[in-house]
Amino acid sequence: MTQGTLHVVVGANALVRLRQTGCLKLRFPKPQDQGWLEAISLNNSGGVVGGDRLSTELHLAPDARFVLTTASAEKIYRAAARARAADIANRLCLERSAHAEWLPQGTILFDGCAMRRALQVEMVGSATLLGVEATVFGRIASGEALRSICVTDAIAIRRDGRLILHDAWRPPGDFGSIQRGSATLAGARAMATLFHVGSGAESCAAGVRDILAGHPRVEAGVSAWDGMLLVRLLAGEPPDLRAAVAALLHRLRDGRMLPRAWTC
Amino acid sequence: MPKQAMATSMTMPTAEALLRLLTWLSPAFPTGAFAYSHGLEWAVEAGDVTCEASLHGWLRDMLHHGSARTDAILLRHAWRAPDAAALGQVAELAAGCAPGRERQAETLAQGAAFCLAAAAWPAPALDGLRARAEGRIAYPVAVGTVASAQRVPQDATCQAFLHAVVANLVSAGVRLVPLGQSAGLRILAALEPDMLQVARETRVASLEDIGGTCLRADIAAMRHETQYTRLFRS
Repeated sequence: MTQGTLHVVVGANALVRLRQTGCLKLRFPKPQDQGWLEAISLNNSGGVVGGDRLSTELHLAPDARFVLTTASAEKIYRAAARARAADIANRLCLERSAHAEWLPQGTILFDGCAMRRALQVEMVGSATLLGVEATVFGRIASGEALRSICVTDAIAIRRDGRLILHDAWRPPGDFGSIQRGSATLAGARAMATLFHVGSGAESCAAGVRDILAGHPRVEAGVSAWDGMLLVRLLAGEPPDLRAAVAALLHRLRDGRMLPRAWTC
Repeated sequence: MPKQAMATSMTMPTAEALLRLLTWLSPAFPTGAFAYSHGLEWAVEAGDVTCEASLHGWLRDMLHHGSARTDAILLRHAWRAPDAAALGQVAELAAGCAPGRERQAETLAQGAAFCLAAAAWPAPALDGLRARAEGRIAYPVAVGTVASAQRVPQDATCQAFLHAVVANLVSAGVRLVPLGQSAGLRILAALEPDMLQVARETRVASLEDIGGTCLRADIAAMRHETQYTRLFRS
């Protein structure tokens, strides 16, 4: 069992404070975009097992622009018998006119894993958030399917004090029994949720639908309301899902290149 | 006071409670439920729901792993909210749980209509909530709050609510596929144990237990927004 915490405060033009403990470390590659600070989060323990406790807290001061990604997809390994679920708590706080991009490279759930993850965002109305959480169901390359897991993965976004989105993925423990249902996943082996909140978010819906029309192997829904955009994606093959997510991010980041960690 | 006696004093006699639930959750109660298909209209268009068996499967998943289970939890927490602040939190959460524009409009419009229509049964907690939540009262929260104020038992309210939601979607499915009335009624009969199971399982659920995995039902409701020919508003 390992623990790790990241506590990051970003100002308008620079990193203000960084505290990192345990297995979590932050690296700062050479910035690609003027005015943006980019960071890569690394989990030195190599993956997550039952009982792990990881927490990341980001605070963006007024006018800060920050991109966070991960070095690779996070693996959630099979939990030992009677182990507690891994607890992953992520918090973002966005002040006036701050821009945050929450772009981890996804999560691979191993059969028998146990994880409770929450992303909690507090933002003001003038801030902008773009984020994605992608999840792969099992080690597909090794032919593993998920039979039994214990996972809750929730995203809660509060803007100006009001909860505008509470999106909780909570599959039953016998995952294998529901994966083929037509209202549930219809056999999909990877999913992603993309969320975008900000003054221009709703108007992106039509462009996002156009891009998705060019990804026929990905099934997706797009909706925009209450100052936000939500996209749900499902795919049989994780590379198809990744290609669609990358295309959407390219569009929603006004054509800026994806973080290098995504492309190497 | 013995526990049994206390429970009896806090809820109304069964006959009166039954009458109220029959009124509030009847298709004739003016919530406008008939206008919403919860994404089913897209599922039929896309070929996911084409017959009695596929409609049955779709609705069974929605009960156990989707919005119906979430709504049952929200209804129960609204029913037993100890004060205005707790009720306000349930209402805020319920509005935020909708994964898309039409799904949110569906639950908030039915909630608002239920509040108006239920005015004949006074519910002071609902009046307070309507003032604070700026009209953002989801359907299960409205039903739970009125039932609680009127001392209609929580379990029966939850069961009746699930039945109303499922019956409305069976009716939408019968019109959309289309299916015969007897096929729809067979689905409703077959789903009785599922409704009772979800009502039973949500009895002890916390608000943290909210969530599901009916992602294709969510996607169907999102895609319905741009569906070319539509009979329903969701």
